[in-house]
Amino acid sequence: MTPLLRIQQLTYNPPKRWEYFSPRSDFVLGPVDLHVNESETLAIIGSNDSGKSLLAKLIVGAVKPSSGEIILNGQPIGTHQSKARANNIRMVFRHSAESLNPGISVGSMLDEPLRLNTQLSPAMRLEKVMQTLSLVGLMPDYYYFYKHMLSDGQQQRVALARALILDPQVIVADEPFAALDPSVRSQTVNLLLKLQAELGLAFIFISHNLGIVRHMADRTIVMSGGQIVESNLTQTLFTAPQHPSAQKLIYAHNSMLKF
Amino acid sequence: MLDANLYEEELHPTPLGATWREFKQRHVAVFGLVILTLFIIVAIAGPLLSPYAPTTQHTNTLLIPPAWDDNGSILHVLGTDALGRDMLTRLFYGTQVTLFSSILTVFIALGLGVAMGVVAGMSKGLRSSFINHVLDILMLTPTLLIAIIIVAILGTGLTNAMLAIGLALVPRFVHLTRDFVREEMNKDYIKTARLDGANLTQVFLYNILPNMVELLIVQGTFAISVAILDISALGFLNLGAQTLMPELGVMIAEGLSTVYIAPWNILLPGLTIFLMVLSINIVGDGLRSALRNRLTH
Repeated sequence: MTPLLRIQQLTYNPPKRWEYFSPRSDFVLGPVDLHVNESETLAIIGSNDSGKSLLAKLIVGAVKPSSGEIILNGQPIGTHQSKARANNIRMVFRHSAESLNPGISVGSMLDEPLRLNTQLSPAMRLEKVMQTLSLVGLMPDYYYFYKHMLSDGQQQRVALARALILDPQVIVADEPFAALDPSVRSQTVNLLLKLQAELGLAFIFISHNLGIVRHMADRTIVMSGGQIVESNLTQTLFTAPQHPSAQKLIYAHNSMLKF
Repeated sequence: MLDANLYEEELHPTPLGATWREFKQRHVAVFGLVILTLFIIVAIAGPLLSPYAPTTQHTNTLLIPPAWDDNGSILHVLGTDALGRDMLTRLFYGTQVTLFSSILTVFIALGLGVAMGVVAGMSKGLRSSFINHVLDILMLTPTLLIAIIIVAILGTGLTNAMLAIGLALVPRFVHLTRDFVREEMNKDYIKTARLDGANLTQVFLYNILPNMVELLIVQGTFAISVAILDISALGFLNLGAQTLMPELGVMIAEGLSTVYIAPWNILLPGLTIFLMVLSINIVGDGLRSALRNRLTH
């Protein structure tokens, strides 16, 4: 079976800039190889500054890679921002005050990707927005709501709806569960698992919460210093981590569980 | 199965409706809005309401005090000036000239300033810093001073005064827009829009502009009050509107020669300017808090 998304030898070197005033950054990502299958969940863990978020941005195309290939369904998607990528690989940012636009209603927020990436008529777009709202468990009323009227969990659902509305194949999420309180967090986790079962999405997410990683992910990747240092099935990784940085993370997590 | 619309509410407040609901909470602001509306009605319908033409000279009734004075006449409710022109009529026309020229000036300056500010905010490097720093120099000098310099080059007249004040207001809008756009461009929701394939124009129109409305309205109203003051100041200094035009600043300047025997000739236009600027500032202030609260309650 060919994987849905395959990433080959992806590297990123920060561009040369005026170095006289700003401190030089020697951070280099990669080369990175990874793949995701259909309806599979892949978790990326690692300490801070290990390049997790950068990898997510490279996958969705927010940052242009220096070299390497991203292959979706056997087709390389080379260019920086392409329609195929916008349609099929969607990103969910971490929950924050700036993750949703405060000035426009939820309806126009969800309408935007459709307007830009599809040829649907306004009536069909409205129908699609309503469908997606009910998919993430929101009432049709929310079409008219603004960000400040929504709770944190609802905001996260809207962000998810925005990613889902183009019927993508892969969703990349950068710490989607950080900054959410435990009950909202478990709601979001359950919602994602439900959607994945229904829609067959591949889901790549970055998390510091190893409990959720263990609960959700089929496979887990450990990153350190811009490299993938370990990649294995989640169960295997959590019982027998090999690389020192993976061991550090997982032992720290396990020692918390003992109490 | 239940109908999906069963629980749907029938009324969703529009952004405008929500703003009005917040605005109503502040009675002072509503009072200011009433005065401002009166001024706008007078400015539009002035020619219909006024009994005389603004330049008609009633030579047998010079310097008549307002009607409530013992020497006043009901034919000239607010009295006449040294040339026998009806004060009420001239105030109507003066409001029209001053208010509308200020609003027009600000609209043009706003359009220009926002366009340049967006270009500066979205571009990076040398182009952005060039626009910004050149305009910083212009911002340092007071608007009235720049206006006087421009009038000195182009010559006097209301159009030139409007042009001068408009040009003096542009840097302020450029600066505000640039800072705002810069800040917005770094936010996550702009990144998601960019990932959807929105180009810079679409990002601005659909994502940044809805958030910028508050800033534009508030700064626009304050700029209108500045423009009113500057246009009448230039008129008073005989650099803007010229003697024949019923402009409020010009009327004060003309009233100065007879200030001891006919103080109403400068008091009434002065009061008009004062009330106009006051009401615009109150409305602007009320709008600011209403627009801010709209996104919190």
